[in-house]
Amino acid sequence: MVHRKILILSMLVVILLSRVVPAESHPHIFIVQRLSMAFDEKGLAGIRVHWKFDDMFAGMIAEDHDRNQNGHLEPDEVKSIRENAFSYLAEFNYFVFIKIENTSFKVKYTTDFTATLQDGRLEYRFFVPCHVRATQSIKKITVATYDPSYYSAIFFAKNKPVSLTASDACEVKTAIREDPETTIYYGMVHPWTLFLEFCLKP
Amino acid sequence: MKKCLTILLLFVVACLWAAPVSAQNPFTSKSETRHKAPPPVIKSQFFIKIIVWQHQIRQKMSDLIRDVQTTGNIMPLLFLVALAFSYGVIHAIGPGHGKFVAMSYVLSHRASIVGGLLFGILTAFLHGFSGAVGVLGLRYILQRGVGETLGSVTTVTQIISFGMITLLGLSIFLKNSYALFSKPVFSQHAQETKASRKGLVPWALAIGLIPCPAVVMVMLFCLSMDAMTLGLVMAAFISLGMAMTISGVVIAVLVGKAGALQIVSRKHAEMIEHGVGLVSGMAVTVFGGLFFIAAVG
Repeated sequence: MVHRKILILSMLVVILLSRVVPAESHPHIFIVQRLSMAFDEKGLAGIRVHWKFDDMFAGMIAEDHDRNQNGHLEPDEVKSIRENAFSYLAEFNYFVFIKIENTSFKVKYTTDFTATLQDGRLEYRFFVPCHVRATQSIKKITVATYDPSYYSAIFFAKNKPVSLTASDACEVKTAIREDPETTIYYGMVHPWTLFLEFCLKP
Repeated sequence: MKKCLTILLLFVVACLWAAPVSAQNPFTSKSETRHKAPPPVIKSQFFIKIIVWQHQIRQKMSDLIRDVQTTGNIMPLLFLVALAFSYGVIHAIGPGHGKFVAMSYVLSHRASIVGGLLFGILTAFLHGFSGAVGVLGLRYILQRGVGETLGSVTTVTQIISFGMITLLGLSIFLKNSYALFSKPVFSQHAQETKASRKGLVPWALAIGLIPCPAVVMVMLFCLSMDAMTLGLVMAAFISLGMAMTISGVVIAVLVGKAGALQIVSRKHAEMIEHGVGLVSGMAVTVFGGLFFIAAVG
């Protein structure tokens, strides 16, 4: 009787531990992001992405790319980071997954990439061109930022996660929430998504 | 019926642990150098909580390391090693870290509780310190960029590790097939006990050979703060935390196995033991082989 209890108990422990086992690697990089929706006279021009990395990943990048180890990144060091620690993300849409009126928009390239290292803290900034003309009718756009392999976990900043620039000609609404229609990591995670709606002011 | 159920239960539980040891960094490597694992058998939202905890602990650790280095204040050290230990425990609950192979080892060998504990400690320290030593070797001996070079080092160690795991799985499979189908099973007890202790090192080596990415990150951060000794201390405590999780899993399986085998007669117990050994050997061979092919490819 005692043995049976021990058996059941130990099996329960193992099964309980097994429940937390997902398939691929857990995140090793943590990113806190801010998005800025850039408008021009025609409508949406694109998205400025600002990523702040956790200190451990920052240390790794600094180790490899801050060649003179002065704690700051010079232009050639930024170029090295862009080529060796950013450009590979092109295969993953640069982790920026946009839907315009529910249709996926492929991010083929980014511009204005820059990386800074200040007090050991690493930040990337880049611009994702995405032109959507503003009209009298409402345009709906979603921007989900995630690493499909989940090696990196991306969170929105608590303070001012989204901002708008040059949006005076448009009426704009933004909301951030988990998108139940998008799942990653074998259906376990719904990425935090920016829901954007805009139209021309009457 | 009971025996079939026990074997089935052990096999299903063993399969739940099938997970890769690590995937590579998407920032610094091309997708063809990364392998992808099969989907999980069971999904859990608890995993998301673990991610948040890891993030919080890691951020706290880096703040404290910076504090220790810049102020010279050693008071946060105790808290820091406690955090490193907790980080190791939580980190090893996630996928990989050889839990599946470790479970297969104890299912197919007559390991004691102490043996299981040793197995967990040895595996975790090899896994942790292969990361720490790898970083130091690349930086001070080879003088190469760690982040990028470690990717190719990890690929090589993955090939060796998965190759070893496949061979070890095959040896379990063949040994148990032979014991089950060709030889009387009673005479082997003493021999197997000895063999299991002697064979512990190659198993731990096969699992622990691949550098732990978490330890690599902590070590690199400490080096960037010019705190190598602190990095090694942190690596030791993270490894200790991982050892606790791996040993816990191994001991839970050992207790479960002992309980299951005591329900049935000795003759049947040995048959079941060999049956379980055969199935777990086959599972280790198949998964090890699949990951080996993916790593080579």
